[in-house]
Amino acid sequence: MVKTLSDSLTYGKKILKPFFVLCVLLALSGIKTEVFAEKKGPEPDIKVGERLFFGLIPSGEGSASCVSCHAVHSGDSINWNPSAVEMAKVAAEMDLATFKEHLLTPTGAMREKVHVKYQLDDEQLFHLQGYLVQLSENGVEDAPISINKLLIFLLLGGLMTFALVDLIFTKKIPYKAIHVLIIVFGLSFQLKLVAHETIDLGRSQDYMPDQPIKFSHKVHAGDNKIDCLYCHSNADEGKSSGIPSAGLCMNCHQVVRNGTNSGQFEIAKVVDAYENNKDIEWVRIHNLPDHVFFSHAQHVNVGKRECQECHGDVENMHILKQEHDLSMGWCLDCHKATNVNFKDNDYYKTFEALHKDLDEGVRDSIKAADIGANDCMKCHH
Amino acid sequence: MKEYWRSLEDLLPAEEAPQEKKSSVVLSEGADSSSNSRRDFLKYFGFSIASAAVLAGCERPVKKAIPYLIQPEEVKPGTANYYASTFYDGAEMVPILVKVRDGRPIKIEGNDLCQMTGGSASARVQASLLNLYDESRPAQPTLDGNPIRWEDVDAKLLETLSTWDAEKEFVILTPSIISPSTKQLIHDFKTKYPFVVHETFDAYSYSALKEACHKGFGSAVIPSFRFDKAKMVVGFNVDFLGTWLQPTAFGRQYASARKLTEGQREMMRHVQFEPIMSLTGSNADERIPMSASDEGYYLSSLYMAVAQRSGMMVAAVKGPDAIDKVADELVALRGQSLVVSGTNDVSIQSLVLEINHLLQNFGKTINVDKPINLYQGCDKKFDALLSRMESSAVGAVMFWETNPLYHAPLNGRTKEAIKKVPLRIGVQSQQTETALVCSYQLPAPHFLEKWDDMELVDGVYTITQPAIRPLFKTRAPQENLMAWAGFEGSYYDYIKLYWKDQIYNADIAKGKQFETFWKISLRDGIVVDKNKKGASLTYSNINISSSTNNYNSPNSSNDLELVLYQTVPVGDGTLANNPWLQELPEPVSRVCWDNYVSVSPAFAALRGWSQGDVVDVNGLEMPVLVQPGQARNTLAIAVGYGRSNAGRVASDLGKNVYPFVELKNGHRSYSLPKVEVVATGGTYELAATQSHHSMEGRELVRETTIAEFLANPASGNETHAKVEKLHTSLYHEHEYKGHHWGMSIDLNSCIGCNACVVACSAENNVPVVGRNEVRRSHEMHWLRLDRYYAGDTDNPGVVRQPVMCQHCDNAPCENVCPVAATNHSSEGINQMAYNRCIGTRYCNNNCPYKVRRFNWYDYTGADTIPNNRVDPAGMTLDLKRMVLNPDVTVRAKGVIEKCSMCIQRIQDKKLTAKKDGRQLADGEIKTACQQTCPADAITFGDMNDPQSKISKLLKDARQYGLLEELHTLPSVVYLSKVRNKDKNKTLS
Repeated sequence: MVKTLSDSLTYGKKILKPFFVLCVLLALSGIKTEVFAEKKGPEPDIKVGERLFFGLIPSGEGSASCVSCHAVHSGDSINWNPSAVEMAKVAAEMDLATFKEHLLTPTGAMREKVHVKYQLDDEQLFHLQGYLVQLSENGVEDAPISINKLLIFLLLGGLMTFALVDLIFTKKIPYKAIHVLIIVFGLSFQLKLVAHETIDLGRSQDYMPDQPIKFSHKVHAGDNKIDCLYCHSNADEGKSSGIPSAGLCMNCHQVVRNGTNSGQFEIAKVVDAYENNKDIEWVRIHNLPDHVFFSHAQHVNVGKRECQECHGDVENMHILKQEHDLSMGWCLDCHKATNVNFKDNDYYKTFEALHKDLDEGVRDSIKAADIGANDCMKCHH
Repeated sequence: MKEYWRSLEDLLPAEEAPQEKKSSVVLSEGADSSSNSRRDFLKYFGFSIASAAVLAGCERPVKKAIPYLIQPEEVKPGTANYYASTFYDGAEMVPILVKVRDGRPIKIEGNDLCQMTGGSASARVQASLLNLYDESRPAQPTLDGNPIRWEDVDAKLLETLSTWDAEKEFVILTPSIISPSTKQLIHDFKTKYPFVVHETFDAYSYSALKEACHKGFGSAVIPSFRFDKAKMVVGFNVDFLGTWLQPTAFGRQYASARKLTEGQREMMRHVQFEPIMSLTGSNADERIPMSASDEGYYLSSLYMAVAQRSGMMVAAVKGPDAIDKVADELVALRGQSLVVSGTNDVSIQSLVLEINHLLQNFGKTINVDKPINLYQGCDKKFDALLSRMESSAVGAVMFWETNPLYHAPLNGRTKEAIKKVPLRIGVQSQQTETALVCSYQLPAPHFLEKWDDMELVDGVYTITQPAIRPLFKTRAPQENLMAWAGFEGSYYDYIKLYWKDQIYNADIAKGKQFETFWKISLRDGIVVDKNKKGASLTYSNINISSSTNNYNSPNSSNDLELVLYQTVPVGDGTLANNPWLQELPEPVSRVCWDNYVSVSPAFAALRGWSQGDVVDVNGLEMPVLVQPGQARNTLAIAVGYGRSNAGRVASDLGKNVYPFVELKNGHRSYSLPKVEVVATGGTYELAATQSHHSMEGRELVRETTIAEFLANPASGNETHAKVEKLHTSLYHEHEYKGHHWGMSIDLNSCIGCNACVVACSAENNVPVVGRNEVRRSHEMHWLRLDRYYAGDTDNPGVVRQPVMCQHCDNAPCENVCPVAATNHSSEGINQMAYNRCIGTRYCNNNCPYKVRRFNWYDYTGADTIPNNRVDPAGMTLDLKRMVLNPDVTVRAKGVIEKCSMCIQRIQDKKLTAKKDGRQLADGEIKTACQQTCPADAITFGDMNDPQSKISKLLKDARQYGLLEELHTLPSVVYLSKVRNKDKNKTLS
């Protein structure tokens, strides 16, 4: 998981948020009741719905709680089932009868297995749907985060301040070595932290965001052994590798509608996008700064590099992750170490002197950097 | 060596040189208005560093990547597609290729299948791309200023047309229509509504030339001129390299006839008589200043002299000496010469035709059987239209991309006449003055958004095809007609049908089916029907006795004359709302963003004026520019400026002198025989790039004459051999194991049209800085065309030199960069890493060529800090930023930039070769400047390849490096200029 300063800062915001929400709620409570009062018919008890969802009210003999499959938090491990919010969005648009049918008389392998155990009466279903409607409107909170670097940073700061104060004024700890030790250790740790964070500014190694569709490279490239270039054919031709169009997905998913892991829900999203002209907004993972001009064709087509050299073990990734930091040093190091396909590609005949060196055994190989791969303007136009 | 001087100030001793004139008008364009002091900056600096460090860590911007749902087969993300199309702005027509990246047109190139232009394009063609992204374009149809839907427009006009009073005319006023389909459509429209009258109005008039041709050939045509077939060209007040008729094609012909490379040892001779210093005149081998009113006298003397030498019995008239000498030369080159004049006067044009007839040039250098279809307008017909309007015979007028209120106000007569027309419809792709008086304002698409076809010469068809979907709610004027006439389908269908019925035949399609032929035509953009021939016309003598009688003596009056001319960048003013064109310096005066009154040095001295003094010319207050070489009693002002409603950039820029244009003998006359001019006492600082970066007293441009060149090809270039002998270096030399890029510029071919400058700006995202910044010498062009004068101020010789980064092997800039942001590549390119640059400008100071440019502000919106921005022309708007080339970094404030030899193009072509597994072919990589050059003056290639064109040019005796005595070892070399004149015998 990516751990940056960001998480802790958002944590700070999180503490404030409930207060804010509470204030707003208090202020609005008067208005709210009025609005509800105007509506006809019974109101769902959100609390009961929520308890049902989290399994605090039993929902049937031997059945699992909803939340055990439909996670309310996004996370770094893949959960093939639709998330609570996605599901809530679907449920929010149904009337009660459809919702009931959808929930209790399931289709699809996974749902059949699990949902069949549910025994919910109409009233419970009504409350449950009420909760889901609310969930679809409000979304879920981000996953709580663990203690992290900023907290350590602040803790050390506090500790050092305490040591300093004690050293000069209060003098409660008799051994000065302890103060010094705390300050030295604290300072060096803080400096190291700052240095690392600064160097990593703008880089995003290990970035693995949630995607709008739970697409697994492992299933496609690993298990089903689809060639990378089948979907990313542009990598052979152009600068970018290209993200396959929904139309390309449909080449297979015209037929394949039931996923090994995800069931029908995720594939249905692609079909829906394709049939109803909806864009699929993938989250871009590998980003280079605007002043860097990288060409996939040069590396994949000409250089005959394997995709995995830069992108890591993609065929084993359920959630795609940025393997390397994509820093300039990383590029240059590779250029210095990689042999050019000097003999097979006629383009390189231009380098007559180097060919002579090779023939005469002066050199045993030509590295990319030897023929100017590390010139500034090769990548920075 | 000649004494070259850059501007008049250089001729004066240092203490006399006038101090730089500051504008008496306070101008603010934002740059100076910032109240932040250095101290504030430091205060914020500390805080922002701290906060940036924290903030940068906390928010990772989530970037979305949204693929196509169904990806079109031909579209590959990040790979450009090229579409063949045609540029036509009512003046010039050039077949083009449009480079489209991810759905956006980002560059225009000439279509290399066109034999006329050979893949070149002019500055205006290059710049027309930016008009597409003009935020001032009319965005939706309006009726009396209120937005209206197209359906409602159609409904209302259908009703109007169906209940039309047949007594009244419904006039469609178009520029010259060279589209055969549109002509047919207008014809069909007229058949449907017989009261419709089609009239043609050209923004700049050449109707006298047509009338003279009508007299001589019985058909009002504009002949094709073949400068490449002439061994001698004599021009009278004509700027055929800059603005006259087809400058791109003429520039190419002209340069090809004067090249001295590849063994060619013969060169066309060019003599020019003119009142102002035009681009064409500045290229002439010999140029004689002549006042506009004397043109008739000069031409009639030439006619007499040629007639006499042709054995005709004519009265002996003593003409100017130069004319006699020219006549001798012309007569010796019968059938291989060409005399042209740009004056819109029938008697002048008749004289020119008669002279060419005597010289037997018809069918050789002038072809009337293949006339060009441009400029079909006739001023006499326009005059008649105005009369009909005045007599209320016209019930409606539709201004179809025409702007007569601006181009021909005719003392307010046009306005009054138009006001008498009850229904006025403006169909415009840009804001115009005429649209303001129209009740219906119907936006038309830019030419890159629509379908059309063109037939420049009979049988040569080109296609205009859209390269982007319309950005605004526009509709092609042709589609308007189709909607109002109730024709089925779109204009595209109409064109295709027309092509199927009228153009397609087995010969032209080489036996292919129509659909295949249509696809091939779309791909090529140009189709030639060799069997289609124009009517063969025979010449019958024009009676010019009245002209020769009228013009038998020089003008004796001492009146001040005013000449109105088109500048190379702005032309007639149609495309004026274009930042690239406004920023482009006029090739001779090197002034941009304004027009001005140019006066001769003698006259300026007489009145005690210098550049920047504001004078009043017939009520118009304008700054003075002293122009060496101008006829003594002549003032000159450029048209195309002073637009009152053109959009954000061009409105109120300079002064409008079209009101000075009057009908003379039925044709619009672009000169006034008498004007009054007085100084107002004010001053105005012109934005000139002229006395910047002065490089005096050194052999920058080397020059020789043809005779000396033939005797010794290295003549004029003796210094090169001397410098070569001294070649030694303390530095160790670079070793280029693969490519070694180099460029050669043939100064003898370069005509100074400045197309390369705009092409470079478009290709490399070069910022537009605006008038105030140019005044502060902050212009950013990577490539400039230096212009030097030599000899006396009344009639100086002119040389010019394109200068860009010379990519020195011993680059002075590289040594001084403290952060190694500029260094040498393994292929000989002087690299500039923008993201590494910290803006010390040491390199700029150390560069002897002054080709490095510093981003004093953020001109293109690369920064996130709004205070850094200087944006006089809207170049930071999202719409205009769509023109940016995604393969080139947009530079932020505080970094140096300069010519990269179009490294992105080099990389692209290298990659193509690598993918194909073959060696790069010579000439495969073309830099932007090279590709657009009509004169083919620029050669780029691999100096390590002994077979390449550049390697051969490096062995040319005329080759030298700029400031080579400094031992910078530039990779850009120049070929010296050769003049086709005798050193000892001159005309004047």
